[in-house]
Amino acid sequence: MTTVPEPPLLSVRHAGKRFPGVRALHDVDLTLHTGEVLAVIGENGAGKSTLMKILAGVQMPDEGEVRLNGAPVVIDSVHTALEHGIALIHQELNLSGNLDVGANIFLGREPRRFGLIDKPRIREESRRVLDLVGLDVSPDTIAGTLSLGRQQLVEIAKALSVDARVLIMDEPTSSLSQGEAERLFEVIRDLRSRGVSLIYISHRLGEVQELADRVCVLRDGENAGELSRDEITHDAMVRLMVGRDVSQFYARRPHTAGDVLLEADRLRTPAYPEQELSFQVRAGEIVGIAGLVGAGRTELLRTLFGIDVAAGGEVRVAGRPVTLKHSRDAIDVGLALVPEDRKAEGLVTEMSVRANISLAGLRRNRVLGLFRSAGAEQRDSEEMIGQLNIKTPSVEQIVRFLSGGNQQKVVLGKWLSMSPRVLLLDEPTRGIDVGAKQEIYTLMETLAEQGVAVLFVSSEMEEILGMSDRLLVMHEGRITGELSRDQLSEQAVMHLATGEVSAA
Amino acid sequence: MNKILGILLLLVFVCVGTTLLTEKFVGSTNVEQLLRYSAEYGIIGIGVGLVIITGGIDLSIGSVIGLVGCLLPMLLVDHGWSVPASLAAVMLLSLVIGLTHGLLITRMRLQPFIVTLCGLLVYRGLARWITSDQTKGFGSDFNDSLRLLAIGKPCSVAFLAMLAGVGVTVWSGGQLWRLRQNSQPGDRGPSADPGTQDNQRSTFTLPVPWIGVLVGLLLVVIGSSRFWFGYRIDIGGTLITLGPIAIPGWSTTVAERGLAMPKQLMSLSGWGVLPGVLILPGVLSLRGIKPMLLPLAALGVAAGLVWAATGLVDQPEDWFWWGKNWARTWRIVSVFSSLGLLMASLAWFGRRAVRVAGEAAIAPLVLTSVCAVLWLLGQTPLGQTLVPAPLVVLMLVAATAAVFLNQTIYGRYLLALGNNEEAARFSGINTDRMVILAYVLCSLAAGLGGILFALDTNSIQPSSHGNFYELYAIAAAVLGGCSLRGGEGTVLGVVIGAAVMRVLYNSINLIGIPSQLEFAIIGLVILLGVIADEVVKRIASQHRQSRSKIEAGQPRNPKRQRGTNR
Repeated sequence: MTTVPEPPLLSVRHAGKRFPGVRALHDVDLTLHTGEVLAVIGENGAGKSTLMKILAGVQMPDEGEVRLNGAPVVIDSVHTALEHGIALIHQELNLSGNLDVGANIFLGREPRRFGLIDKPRIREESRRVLDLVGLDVSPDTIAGTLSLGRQQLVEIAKALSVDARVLIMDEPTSSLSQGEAERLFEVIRDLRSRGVSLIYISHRLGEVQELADRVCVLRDGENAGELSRDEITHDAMVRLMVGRDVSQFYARRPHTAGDVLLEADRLRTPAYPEQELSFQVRAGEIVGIAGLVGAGRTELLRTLFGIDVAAGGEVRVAGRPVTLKHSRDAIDVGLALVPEDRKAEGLVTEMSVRANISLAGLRRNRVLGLFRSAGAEQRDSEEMIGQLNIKTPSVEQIVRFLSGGNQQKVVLGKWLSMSPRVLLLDEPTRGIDVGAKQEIYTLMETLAEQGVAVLFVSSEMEEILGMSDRLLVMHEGRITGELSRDQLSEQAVMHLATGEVSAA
Repeated sequence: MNKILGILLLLVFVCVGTTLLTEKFVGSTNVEQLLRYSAEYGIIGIGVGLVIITGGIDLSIGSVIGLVGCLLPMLLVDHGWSVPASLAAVMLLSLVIGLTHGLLITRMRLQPFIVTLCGLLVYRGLARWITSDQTKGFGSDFNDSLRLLAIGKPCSVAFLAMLAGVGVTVWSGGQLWRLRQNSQPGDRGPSADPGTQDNQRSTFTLPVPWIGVLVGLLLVVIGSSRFWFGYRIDIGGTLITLGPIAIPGWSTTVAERGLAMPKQLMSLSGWGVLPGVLILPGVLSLRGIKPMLLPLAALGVAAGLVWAATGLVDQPEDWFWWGKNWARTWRIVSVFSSLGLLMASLAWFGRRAVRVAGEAAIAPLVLTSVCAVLWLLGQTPLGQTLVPAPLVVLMLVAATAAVFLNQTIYGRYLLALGNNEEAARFSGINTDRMVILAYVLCSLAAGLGGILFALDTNSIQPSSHGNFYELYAIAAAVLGGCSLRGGEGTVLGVVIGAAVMRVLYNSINLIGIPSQLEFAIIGLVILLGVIADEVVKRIASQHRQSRSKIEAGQPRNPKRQRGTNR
C-alpha cells in the first residue's frame, strides 16, 4: 500500500492441513494488509473454511506459520486468536437467543465487580460497539427477537468489543435479505475506513466485486491466484476458481434415455416454499444437480423421498402421480435415497452390515406378516457384499468399524437390494477414497444401463461434469438452468450456480 | 452376549456368597418367594426395557401398578364384575395409558421423561381418589381361584429342569445333526478368533453338542425322578371362566416320599467331575503344562481362602475381639472377597486352558463344571422347591418378548431406531408408530405386573402400592444391558437384571446387614456394574478399532501400537 516495505498485518506462509484421507490445505500463502477487505473465494471444499479456522485458532495447521506484523505467532486456541485481535464470525449465527444482546456480546468474558457481573459496564460497552456497527437496539433486547441481519450485526459488534484488528466473515450474507446485506456492506466499508482489516468469504461473486480490495482464490486446498482491485471481474474469478482439466477419471459411454421415470411438476420444497421446481429424469439417464451449499439441492431430494413433505406441486413416478408423506411411500413406488450424511442418516452404525443392508427390505421380505426372514437377509447382504465389493470381514461386522467408502457401499447395498427404479444420491462420494469413488461411478453407470433413473447431487465439479448426462443447476432454491451434455463446462455451471440466470 | 454373561456372573456371585453365609437363602420358602418377586419385577423390567431400547423412558410404571392394583379388587369385589371382564378392563386401561404416552411423545414431540413423570403423578392421584385412600383387597374369596395366578405353585423346579433337559437334548442333538450334515474339511466356521489361530492343528474336537446331549439327558433323569415321586397336585377352583371354558387353577405341595432320589442322583453326578479332572491335565500336558501353573496356584489359594472364610461363618458370634458387629462385617467381607477371587481365578484358569489346548479343553471344562454345579445344588434343598406361578407367566412373557425383539421385523425396527432414528426413517420405517408400540407394550407389561402384584399382596395401599417400582424396573433393565442412549438390550439380560435386584435385596436382609443400608448397597452395586460395563466396552472398542484399521490397511495411531501385534 505504501512505498516503504512494511510487513503486512497478517500473513500465512506454506500452510498445510490434512484430515484423514483428505488434504485440506497444501502450501497456502495469504497476506492481509491494514485496512483492506480481502475476499477469499473458491468452490465448496477448496479449503477456505479450514484456512479461516486456522487463523481463528479453531484448528492448528500441520505445516506452515502465521505471522502478525512480521512476527511469527502460534494461534493454538480461539482465545489466543482473540488476544491477537483476530475474530471469526461463523456462517451460522452463534448467539444465544435466550440472552440479551449485552450478555451475548460479553459471553464468556463478563466484566465483574465484587465477583458479580458488572451489568452497567456491559451496557455501556455494548452501546459503544453497537454504535460502531450502526445498530440501534438496546443492549437489554433479547437476541433471539432480532432479525437475522441484526443478529449478524450483533456478532460483528461482539467481535469489535475485543478490539479485533482482523475480522473474518464466513458467508455473512447467506441468511440475510437484500436490504440487510446492503446495511452490512455499509458497516464493512465503515470498519475499513477505521483501519480494521477484513477477510470476507463468499460464494456471491457480485458482493465480492462490490466490496473487495483484493481477491484470493483457493482451489483444491492450494492457491489458485490473486486478483487486485481493478482485475476483479466475475469472469476472472470463475476462471480461477475452476480452471483445471476434467480428467479421464470418468470413462463414460453415452446413454440412451428411455421413458420419463421421475417427474417433478411445480414442486415446492418446505425449505424454499416460494420456488417451483419442474424437471424430468428418464430411465437410463444420469442427471446431476449442481449448486453451492445452501442452494436447496438436499432439500429437493428429501422432498422427493418423502422425508420432508412438499409444500405444493406434484411428483410423478413412471407417469403416475404419487403422494409422498413418508419415506415408505417413496420406497413403495421404487425410489431410493442415499443421503448426504451417511452416519447420521444412512446407517445404523452400531448394527451389523447384514442388519443395515436388510433394513429397508425387512418389510418386503417378511414371513407371515411379522417375522424377519433370516435367509433373505443373509442372501441379500452376501449378494451386495459381492456385487459392490464391500470389504468387510463378515456380514456380522459392526458398520462403525468399516472405512468410509465401505460404509457408503453398505448404504448403496441397502437400496440396491430393493431394486429401485429411481436412485437419488446426495453427495455419493463425499469423504471416501479414490478407489471407492471410482467403484461408485461405475455402479452408477451400470445402474443407468439397466434402466434405472439416477439423480445425483454433488458439490464436486469434476464429478458433476464427468458423470452427468444432463445437469440441473440450482441457486437459492430455484433451478437457474439446465445444461445438456454438450453444454457442460465449468464456467457455465459456475455462472448458473452463482445466480446468473442469463447464461442458460 | 458378553453383557449377559457378566450379569449372570454377578447373580451367581451374590447367590453363592449369600448361601455360604447363611443356609436360609437356599431354603425352599425363601427361594420360592425370591423367584416370585424376581418374576414380577422381570415382567415390568421387560416392558420398560423395550421403551429404553427406543431411547425413551417410562417413569409411570409404579403408578400404573398402583392404579391397576386398586382398580382390580374394586371391580371384582366392590362392583362384582366377572373375572375376565375385570382383567380385560385393567389391561385395556393400561393399553390406553401406553397409547396416550406414545401419542404425546411422537405427535406432540414431548419428552418421554416429562410425559411419563406426569403420568406417575396423575395415575397415583387417580388411584388414591377412586379408592378414597382406603386399602383394597380381594378378601379370601379368590384364594382358590384367581389368586393362584400369583400365589399358586403349578409345578416344581424339577419339572422345569426336566423340560430344560428335553430342550437342551433336542437342541444339542440338532446341532450334532447339522454338524454331521456339513462337516466339510477345511470349514472351520465363522469363529476365526485370532487368539486361537496358532491352534489350527486342533488335535480333536470333542464337540460341545455331545456334552449338551449328555447334560440334557442327565437333567431329564434327575428332573423326572422328582417329577414322578416328589410332589402332589392340589386342584384348586377355576382360575378364569371364559364362557363355557373354565380354566382350572391348581397348586402343588411337596410330598415327603421320593425326596431322597433326586438328591442321590445329583450327588452321584458329582463323580462326573472325575473324568473331567483326569482328562484336562492330559490334554493340557500335551500342550505343555507350564502356562497353567500360575492360574492353578491361584485357584488353589482362592479355594483355600473360601474354605477358611466359610469356616469363620460357623464361629460363634463373639469370637472376634472387636465385638459382634465387626465379626459379622468381617465374615461378610471375607466370604465375598475370597469368593470373588475364586471366580476370577476360575475364569483365568478356564481362559488360559482354552488358549493353551484349544477346543479340546472346552469339553472337559464344561463337563467338570456342570457336574460340579449339579453336585453343589444337590447339597442344598433346592430340589424340593416349587415354581411360583408368576415365574411361568414371566417365561411366557419373556419368550414372546425375545421372539418379538429378535425374530420379527418390528423388533429390528425398534433396535434400529433406538440406535439412529434418522437412519431408520430414511429406510422407510414408520418410527413414530414403532415408538408408540413400545410405550403400549411397556404399559401392558406394567398392567400385567400390576395384576400379579395386586393378587400377590392382597392388601393394596393406594398411596404406596408400586412406589419406586419404575426405578427397580429401570435398574433391572440397565443392569441387564439396556443402554439409556437406546438401541441396545436383550430380554434375557433384563430378566437376569431383575433377579439380581431381588437377590441383592434378599441377601442384605438375610446376612444381617442393617436394612437401612439396603438402598445404598443396591445403588453401589448397580453403579459398579455400569462402570465395569463401560470400562469393558471401552477396552473392547479400542482393541477392535486398532484391529479393523489394520485390516482396512489404514495407518494406525502409533500410540496404540503395542499389545496387538501378533
